[in-house]
Amino acid sequence: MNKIGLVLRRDYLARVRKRTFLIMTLAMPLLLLGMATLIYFMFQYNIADSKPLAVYDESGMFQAAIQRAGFHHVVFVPTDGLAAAKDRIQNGDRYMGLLYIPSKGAFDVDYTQAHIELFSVKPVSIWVTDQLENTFDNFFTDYKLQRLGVPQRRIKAAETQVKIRLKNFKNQDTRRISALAAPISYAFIFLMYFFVFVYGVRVMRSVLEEKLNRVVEVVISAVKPVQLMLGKIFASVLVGLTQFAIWILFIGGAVLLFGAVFSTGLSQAYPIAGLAQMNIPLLLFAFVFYFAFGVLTYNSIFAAIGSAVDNQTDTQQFLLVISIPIAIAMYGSISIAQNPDGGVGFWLSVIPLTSPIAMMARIPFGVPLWQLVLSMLLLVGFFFFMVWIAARIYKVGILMYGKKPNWKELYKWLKY
Amino acid sequence: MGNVLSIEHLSKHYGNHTALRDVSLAVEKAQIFGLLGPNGAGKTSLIRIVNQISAPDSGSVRINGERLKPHHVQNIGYLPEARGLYRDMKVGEQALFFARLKGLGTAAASQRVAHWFQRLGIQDWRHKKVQELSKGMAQKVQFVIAVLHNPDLLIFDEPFSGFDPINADRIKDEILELRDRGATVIFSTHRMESVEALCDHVALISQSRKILDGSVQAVKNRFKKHIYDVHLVPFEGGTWHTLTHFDWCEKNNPPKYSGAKRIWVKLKPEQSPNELLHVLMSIGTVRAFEELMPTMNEIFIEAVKQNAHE
Repeated sequence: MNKIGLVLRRDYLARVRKRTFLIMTLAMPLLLLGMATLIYFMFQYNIADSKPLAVYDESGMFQAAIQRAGFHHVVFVPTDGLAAAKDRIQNGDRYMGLLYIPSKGAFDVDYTQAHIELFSVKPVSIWVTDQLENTFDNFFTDYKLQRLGVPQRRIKAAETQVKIRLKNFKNQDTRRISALAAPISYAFIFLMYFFVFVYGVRVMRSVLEEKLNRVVEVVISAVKPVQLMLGKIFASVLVGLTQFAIWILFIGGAVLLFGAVFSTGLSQAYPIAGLAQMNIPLLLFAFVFYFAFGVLTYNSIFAAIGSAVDNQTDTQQFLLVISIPIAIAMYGSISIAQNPDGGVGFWLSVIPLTSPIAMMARIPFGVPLWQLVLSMLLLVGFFFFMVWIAARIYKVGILMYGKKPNWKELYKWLKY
Repeated sequence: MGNVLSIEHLSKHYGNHTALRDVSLAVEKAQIFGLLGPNGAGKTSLIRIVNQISAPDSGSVRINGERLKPHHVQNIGYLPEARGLYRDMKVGEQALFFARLKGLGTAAASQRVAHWFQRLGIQDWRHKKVQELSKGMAQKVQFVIAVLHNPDLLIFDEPFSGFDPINADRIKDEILELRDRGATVIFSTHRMESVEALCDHVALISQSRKILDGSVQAVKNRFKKHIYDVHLVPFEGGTWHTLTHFDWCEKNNPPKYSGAKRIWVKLKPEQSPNELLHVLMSIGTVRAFEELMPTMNEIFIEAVKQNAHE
């Protein structure tokens, strides 16, 4: 076995034999599920917990319309004077604001439409404003149609909801894929972000540990520093893939075990059925590729940092800089779901430091082959370049003690 | 006997700092070679170059006449001063890992590990993790890791640090036996008494340059002061005046005429010990006559100070 292989094997076994590996591998899906559930319930609670909106309806015509529109958190206050109502709302802390619907004499639709106001101490969210404006739009349209003599039942009959049949040029239904692509895209963004960071920091700690307990000098008397570094970062990727393999086995096991439920229940569920229409082999290949090269590229940077410092605290200044491209990839990729083929999506998915996250966000929506190939080639090329840089820093850094390096110092090490 | 290690005109710089300046050394087979020098002199840089941990800026290193190549790591065993092992790895697995890194196959590695564990009586530790061992126990494991691939050249940097006197003696015996079986040992230490006890040859590096090189005896001869320690019982009525053309080295010189006397006499370059002995025999009974040789510690201090003033 060559030396990189020996280091890889040692690092891999050291990691996967730990009880914490097994516990984390088994617990992580539950933790992620728990986290997603928690976020969902927090979101729901936040909506339920929001303060009601006070409505001062001088016209007396909107109670039914507003309640029909789903505004459960509204309270119609007595119309005994606007100034007094404003004063009560402003000085109390019970309402998010006061919606004022004016009226002039007999109900004058044009006047009311033009003079609706919403008073609040703090700015009201755009979500609430949009919902209110939609409600009023519908009300006024109906009202005006009725005034023109169209009966209510005809208005109802005229209400139309168009659902465009989404198809590709092979005449296959793509609505299910469209419904599924966004959540899958978000899942990939999260997974890639999570693993690039988690495995990167793990490699950095492992390098620092070897340096601090001084075993590194014995090791590099037998292997070249670059071999040691490569062995470590390959082991890290392999540990990650092992974790994924275990999860896939569990999911597969669950599918087999609860096959009946899946076949009659989930597989019939509308978006899940879209999975069958996706290019699953491409998705899996791309995931393994971008996971491997993304983690390898970032790990080489993390390894160089681990070698350059003497303690965890000194890693902060470097981590801050590394987290910038990761954050850009993460937050930039969220917008990809809205426009997967836009300029942002293209550039983020071909630039190597952002492509592992961004390309995985795009792939569920479909990516032209040339863009995929270009992105992969650039990432592989950049990985070799990064390993070259990192190895030069690493071989100086792991034997350097008592020096607090900065970026200038690292640049000098490149030339040693 | 051929040279196992030949170093010629080696120089190494780190930025503006010069770690080694034109250093040349030759280490013969089956020799214990003391590599001495104050802290920061350049010893570790030299050892790291031989171990291919770093590369020289200029100069060459040859192992058994061949230019240093990656495969030579199999011929070298290294025990660095800054010791370290993987703390959460079992002792046996760790030894096997390093043996494999040094080029042994799985079967040969297992056999060599078993042999050395038994030899040093540490076979019971095989399944223990390093973090469960005491410092001395870990040092023993580290020694085994350095020697188990049976290298031609062993580089020990402060090999006795961390050992109690019994285990230090045990390791000393092992080093001597390795030498007797044909291994060459480079031995870097600040403990000069162990240099005297073990080394055949020494080289002293100071301020990045080699300032001294030779067999222990030759180095001692070079630094000796030509002082003789004489134990003399003067004859009745004998006189000391015949000794006046020698330099007295004793504080209370000239000595009194009565009773046995222990004196130090320094010879001038043109004087011989026989001449001194002849004079001494004419004035009394010579009980002891020995040339005072400098200790390695004295040589170390003097050579380093001299170099600092140059």
